[in-house]
Amino acid sequence: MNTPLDIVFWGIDQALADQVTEKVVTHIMELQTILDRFNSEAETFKVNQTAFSKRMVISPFLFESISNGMKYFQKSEGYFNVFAGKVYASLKEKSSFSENSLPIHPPKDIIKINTSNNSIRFLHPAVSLDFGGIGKGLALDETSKILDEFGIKNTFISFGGSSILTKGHHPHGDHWPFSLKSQKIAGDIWPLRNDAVSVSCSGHGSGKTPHILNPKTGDYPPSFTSVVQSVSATEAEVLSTALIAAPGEKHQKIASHFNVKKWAVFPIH
Amino acid sequence: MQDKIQSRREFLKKMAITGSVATLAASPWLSAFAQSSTAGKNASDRVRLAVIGTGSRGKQLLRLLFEITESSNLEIAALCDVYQPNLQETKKMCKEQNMNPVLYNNYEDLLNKEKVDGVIIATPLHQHAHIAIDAMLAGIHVFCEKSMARTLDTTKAMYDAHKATGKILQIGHQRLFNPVYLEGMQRIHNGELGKLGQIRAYWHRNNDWRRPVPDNTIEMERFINWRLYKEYSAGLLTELMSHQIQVANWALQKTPVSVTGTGSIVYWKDGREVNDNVALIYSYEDGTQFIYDSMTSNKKYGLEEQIMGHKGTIEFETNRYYTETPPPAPGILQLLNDMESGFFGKVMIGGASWVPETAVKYNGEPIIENTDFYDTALQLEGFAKFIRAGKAPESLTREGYNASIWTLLGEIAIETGEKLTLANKYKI
Repeated sequence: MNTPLDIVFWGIDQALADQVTEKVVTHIMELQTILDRFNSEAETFKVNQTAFSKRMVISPFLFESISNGMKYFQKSEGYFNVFAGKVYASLKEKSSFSENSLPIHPPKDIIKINTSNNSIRFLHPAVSLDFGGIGKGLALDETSKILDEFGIKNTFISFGGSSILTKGHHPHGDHWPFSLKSQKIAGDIWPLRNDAVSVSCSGHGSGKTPHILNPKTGDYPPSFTSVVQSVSATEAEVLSTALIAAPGEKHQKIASHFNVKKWAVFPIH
Repeated sequence: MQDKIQSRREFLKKMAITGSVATLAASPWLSAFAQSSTAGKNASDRVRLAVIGTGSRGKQLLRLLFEITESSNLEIAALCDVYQPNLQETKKMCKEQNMNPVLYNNYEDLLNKEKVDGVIIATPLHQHAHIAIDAMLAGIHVFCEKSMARTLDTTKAMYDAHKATGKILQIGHQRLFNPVYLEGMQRIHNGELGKLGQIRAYWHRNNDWRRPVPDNTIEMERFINWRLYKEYSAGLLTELMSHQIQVANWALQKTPVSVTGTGSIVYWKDGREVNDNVALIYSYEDGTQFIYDSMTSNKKYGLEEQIMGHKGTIEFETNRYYTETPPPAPGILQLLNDMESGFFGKVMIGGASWVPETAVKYNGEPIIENTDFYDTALQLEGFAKFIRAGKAPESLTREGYNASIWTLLGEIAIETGEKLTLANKYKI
């Protein structure tokens, strides 16, 4: 995922910290070999290349990720879509967008899945899996399971600063006091205890190309930062992305579909 | 400038005293800087030097010698050049320093008449070998600018003369005395970069290399612009690459086993004979590679040597060290500091991570903080120290020899289009 992973433990010895870290990193690398759409060895890449021409039996993890992607499409009212990688790519290259484009099609109309044997088939040539907006959330939820297996009580994990996972609390307080690093919107402290946080941004300014689009219009959304706190890193990741893609008047309704503790959207000045 | 040279001298001294076994094994010439930083002041301690070749490089060396004359107790006893304008310019330079060296037009006269301890040779490349060999046979120590000589045979003959006479033969690879390189090499040889897989280097310029000729005769054209003609120079290879393959050999502590390459004149089609662009690949016995290119019609990428191991990368020319495992984000570092100091402060780390498919933006860190380069002065100071000691570490000569011999074999590889190995008679 080409993103720095910082893990902070306290209250355990170095050997256990090393052991847990190795297990976490190894597992994330394994997930990468499933979810990467650029690596020709990765399962997602192969599915994108093949699943329109023939039915494919896929790994349980990828099948679950696709099933969740369909669920999140519904919960986000179409503003979070893991099936439109090809369309997003062409939109980012400033190709034209029409209302007939793929992103507004419900996944059930363009993908056929068979739960009895974990098989999948794309029903439209433009379908292309892209887990870029959810991968770190999936990885952190898997990490949470590993931490529980090892009995880790207190940890703070940052996946590039945009995806946070916590267990327990800071050694000198009863929670982890998370805040944004931007001085302009840093005032709020979000107390985290066994929580995940996801931060998304529409990415205007400083010469950066926006990487989140409104899938219903192809427009770049206004400059906002969204922050979502949830016990599920994946839920937080999906909602924070959808809040950037969706217009403001939709936020409250979309957020109500998700199991989150707190969410906020800040304008970027 | 003297203060900065002194500062760098102290850096080398510290490294000579505190360096690891691996460091001192790979850079034993450092030991010369472990002792007192200044030479004795007595006339009997004075090192008498002559400079043969007073063109642009000779003048530059002379200026640096002026800076260390007092601290190293040097005397510039004689200057020699066949080209009168340069000789007269350097005479004037010396006069401004209250120095009055004897002038010669013929180096053999200088060697016969002057009782100098060492000569500094800064002539065109094709003249290095016979001057250096004659000097060593006359019992005089030699500092010779790189590359060593124009051909494989004359390069070997220089080395053989050094071995036969026991006289110092130091080749002007100034990076061997550069604090950035010495610190970086220490990290490499202590294993901080892990297993080295590739070394890439390049030197790109966008200039002519042609110098103005006082008259329009063919003889003066070849005399002044000797770098452009194969009789006298291998062009980019001997003028530039020889520095960088020396760095590669030093980093790997090995010499190559084969070389292949290509080259051509694509831009400067003005009658010159040497290539204006070259690309070569050197292979080492453990499978590592030195990948090199150089050109003179584009300067966007400048020059660099990139030493790449599985744990990190060093880019020497820009003084950068990059670990393969970037340090924690600033917010995480603050959290760690707070935890250690008992402070319950907020963790300011939240922010969007951009386009996760792209490589991590990580700017690395400097190898050392101060990058004032006075390495050429330090290597001349080293030469004076070695003369005073009567010997120099043999590895210093070998660094120059191996860089030169493999540079010249690269030239032959380009000309023949073949992958070449070094004949046993040139191996030392």
